[in-house]
Parts: sequence; C-alpha cells; structure tokens
Amino acid sequence: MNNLDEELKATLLGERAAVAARFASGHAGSRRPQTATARVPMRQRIAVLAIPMGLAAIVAVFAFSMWGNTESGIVRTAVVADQPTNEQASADEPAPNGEMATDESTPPTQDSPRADGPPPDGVSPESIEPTWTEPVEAGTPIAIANGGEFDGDFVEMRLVPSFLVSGLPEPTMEQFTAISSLSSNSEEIYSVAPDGTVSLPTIRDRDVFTFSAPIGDTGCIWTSNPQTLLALVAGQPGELPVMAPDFSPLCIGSTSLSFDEPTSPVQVRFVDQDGGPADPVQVVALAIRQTTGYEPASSVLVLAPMIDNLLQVFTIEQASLLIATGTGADGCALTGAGVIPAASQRTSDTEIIVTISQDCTSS
Amino acid sequence: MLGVVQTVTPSISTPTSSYSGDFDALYRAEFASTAVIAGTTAGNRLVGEDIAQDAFEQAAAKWAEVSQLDRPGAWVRRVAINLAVSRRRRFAAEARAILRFGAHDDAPDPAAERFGRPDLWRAVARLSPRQRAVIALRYLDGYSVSEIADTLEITVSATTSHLHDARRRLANELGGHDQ
Repeated sequence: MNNLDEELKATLLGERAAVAARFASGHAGSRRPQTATARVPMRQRIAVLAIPMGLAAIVAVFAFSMWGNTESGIVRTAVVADQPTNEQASADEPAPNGEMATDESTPPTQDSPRADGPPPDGVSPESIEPTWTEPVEAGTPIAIANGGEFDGDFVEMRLVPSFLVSGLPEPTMEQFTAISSLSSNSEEIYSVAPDGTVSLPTIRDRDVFTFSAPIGDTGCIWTSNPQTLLALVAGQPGELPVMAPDFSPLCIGSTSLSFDEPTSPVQVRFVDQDGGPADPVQVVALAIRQTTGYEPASSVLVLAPMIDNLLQVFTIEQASLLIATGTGADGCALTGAGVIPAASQRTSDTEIIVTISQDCTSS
Repeated sequence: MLGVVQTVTPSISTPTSSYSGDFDALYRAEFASTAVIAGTTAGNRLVGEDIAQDAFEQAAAKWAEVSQLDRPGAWVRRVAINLAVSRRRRFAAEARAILRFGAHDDAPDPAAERFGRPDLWRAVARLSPRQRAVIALRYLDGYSVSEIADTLEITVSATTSHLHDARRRLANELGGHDQ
C-alpha cells in the first residue's frame, strides 16, 4: 500500500501545483469553458436551445389562454420557472456553525441531517419513510432503498445495542457479536469490531456501530447472542434504508459459536443444531475490519474447497467474520456465522464450530 | 415525512464590509487545494475549479460568520464537496445529452489533462464521490481520519470504511500495490 499512498499523494500534490500555477497565471477559477458543448455540431446546439425555448413559449401561450392576457401569462410562466428544482433546494452548504436546518413541518430525525444534497434520484419520500426507530430482531433481513445509482451511493447504517433502545431487554451475555453481510458483493462486507467481539463496556463507550452499504444492496445481520436484539438505524435523510422483514428466507436466527483450541490454519466445521454434520453450505461472505483507527487488513482470506463440511481458512492475520448461507437438500435455507480469531490467538489445532440453522418456512 | 434539508441563510447586514483581507488570504491559501478536492470528487479538474469558485463565493457572502470558525478552510472544503456530489448527477446527465446530440471526440478536452498517471485518475474516477473526497482530503491535505470525518460530517467509522474501501479498490485496479 505504501506505493499507492505515495502515488496518490504525489499525484494530488502535483495536481494542486498545476492548479496553483493556473491560478498564478490568472486562468484558474475562471468559469468552466464549454469545451464539451463546443464539440457538439452547431445545428444540434441550436436544437438543444430551441427545445426549452419552445417549451417556454408553449407554456406562455397556454397561460395566456387560461388567464386571458399575455402579461399575466408571461408572469405566470416566470413564476413557474423560478420554482426551485429538487437539486436547487438541496443543502449544499452547511451553516457556518456546522448545523443544518430541517423543514419545520417535519419532525426532527434522530440523526442530525447533513448537507449531502438531495435524495438519490428515483427515491420518493414515501419509499424512504424511515422505520429506523423500530427495533429489529437479530437476523432480520434488510433491504436498502434503491437510490437509482447502485454504484457509488452509500448509505450509512448503525447497529445499536438493544439495551440502548428504550424498552428492550439488556443482554445478559458478557460479549456480543454483530455481523453484517451484503449479498451483492461478498468482498464489500461491513463488520463491526476488530476481533469480531465487543465487550459491553466498549459498546457502551461507542454507543453505536456504523458501517456503510451500497444503496440497492440487501443483506443480513446476525448476532452471537440470541437474546440480543439489534436496532437497525438508518443514516442520513434521503438515504434511509428500508427494512423488509420478509425480504428473504435467509438471515434467520442467530449464530452459535464455540472455540476450541486456536489453530492456524483455522478449521471451520459446520454442524447442525444437533451437533451432527450440517448440509453442505456455501460460504458467501467474509469480513476483515479494524474499527479503531485506520489499519487495513494485511492479508487476504483464501478459502479452500469444503469437504465434509469442513472449511480450511488460510492466511488470516486479523480476526475476521465468516458468514455462511446456502440451501439444504430439502430446500430449507441454511445460515450460520462464526468469528475467526486473530492469528496471535490461535494455536496449531483450533477448530471453529459454526452451527447452521435451518429455516424451512419458505420451502 | 422525511426531514427536508434546507440551506440556512444567515442574514448579513453589510456584506461588502465583510470582504476583509483575511478572506483574500484564505482564498489564496486554499483555492488550489479546494479546487483539486472538488475536482477529484466531481471527476473533472475544471469543474472542480468552478465548484471551488462557488464555494468561495458562499464563504465570502457569509464571511462575517465563516471567519469566526476555527477552520474556515474546512468549511469551504465541505461546501465544495457537497456541491461536487450533488452536481455529479447533473454533469452526468449533461454528458449523456451531449453525446446524444452527436458530440465528436476528436477535439481535445482540457478536462482530461491532469497531473500524473492517467490510469490512476481513471481508477479514482471509478470510486464513489464520497470515497474520492476522502482520498483527496487524506492525501492532499494530510487530514487524519477524524478530521476527514469532521469535514464531511460523517462518523469516524464511516470515514475509515470509505478510506479502506477506496484504497483497496485502487490497489486492485492499479495492480500489485496491495500486496
């Protein structure tokens, strides 16, 4: 990564020097030359101009016919034209104090709105009605509102430990693990803790876990504690995830983990809820993430073919999360998840047991 | 009902008197960086300069308040990035319309002229706008994660995620850097 860092730095600094040179010569900051438009043949340019002018004329004539005189018609047209578009009405500009104002006709949301511009194209206010204060039982599938631009737009979501949400029971277990997985791109996984587990005092300190997800994606959330409920909280206005509890038969229940002696490479064994061999499952998602500071994963997870429900995981330096989903022979949905400890915590013969849960309700 | 974000427009009684020498100093010190950050976010250098102009215009209009901030440069950056993100869709539509109306590509496009490796810029252009903004703030200004989060008004965790994902995607696209 060092080379990449250096190249990014050098390139951006070079770009700044280029702009500064243009600035010094009096060129930078001038209004954007219409270079792209200049590449359009003149006739097309005239046509492009004629279309809105023609439309304006039609509106003016229509207004005149309705109102009875040209002057009012023109005024009416001007008023219509002055209505701000959604984009113009967006808040590109934060207040100097860093705070944004919300529409007084709407109640304040839990998060402070940010100056991120308009809602994504194609998302109507109705489709992103926030349901984000509702607690979500662990394992509840989620679907994120499709913002029309799958690639590039991200939502920010937060997992809130249940005991921070009024009326929900405080978990009794010492530790808790939250795992999120998004189905569209198994490499873009959003996890919550450097070692897969977070102690309750840490949770209290952090209050929320935050991860981002591409709009239009779907996924699951698990917790290692079946007694723990998670509240899924949406991020910013205009990009609120929509929860769809019946979206998928996957993501049922929670995961049950057990760690024997640590090992490297790690053996991951999939068992059913009776402890016997689980139906074959496909491992679809893995996550490696540091949540404090910036320290990218230093190694790549490699999966070996699974034989007899035994998965061998190599070259994991950091703790990671393993998520398995699949469909059993009887059509039931299979899910499970496990935490792979950091290499420093493994010994030669660690085996991780991932209990696979079945959901036959939709089969 | 969704909360609609509106622009706060503080009243400024004497706008002309607020154009002090400090604003000039800010402009001279920060314009190039702001333009590059906006241009990186928007994917076009000249658009970035345009956006930087707009951001500084807004700063000038509210200079009495902006000048009281600890980091007025960060405020301008935030405005510029927000403008770049929200305008991106409009520029994309504009580009599609120009192509639809028969643009030809033989004329030189100054927007394509950038410092450094073209493949790096192409890879950066394929990142999300937010990721591009994070990359620019990190490597141009040397901002820490918390400073980026503060500037973009997102959480540290989300910033870390954007930065990590962006670097990984760049490493993958450029090949070999991630090893």
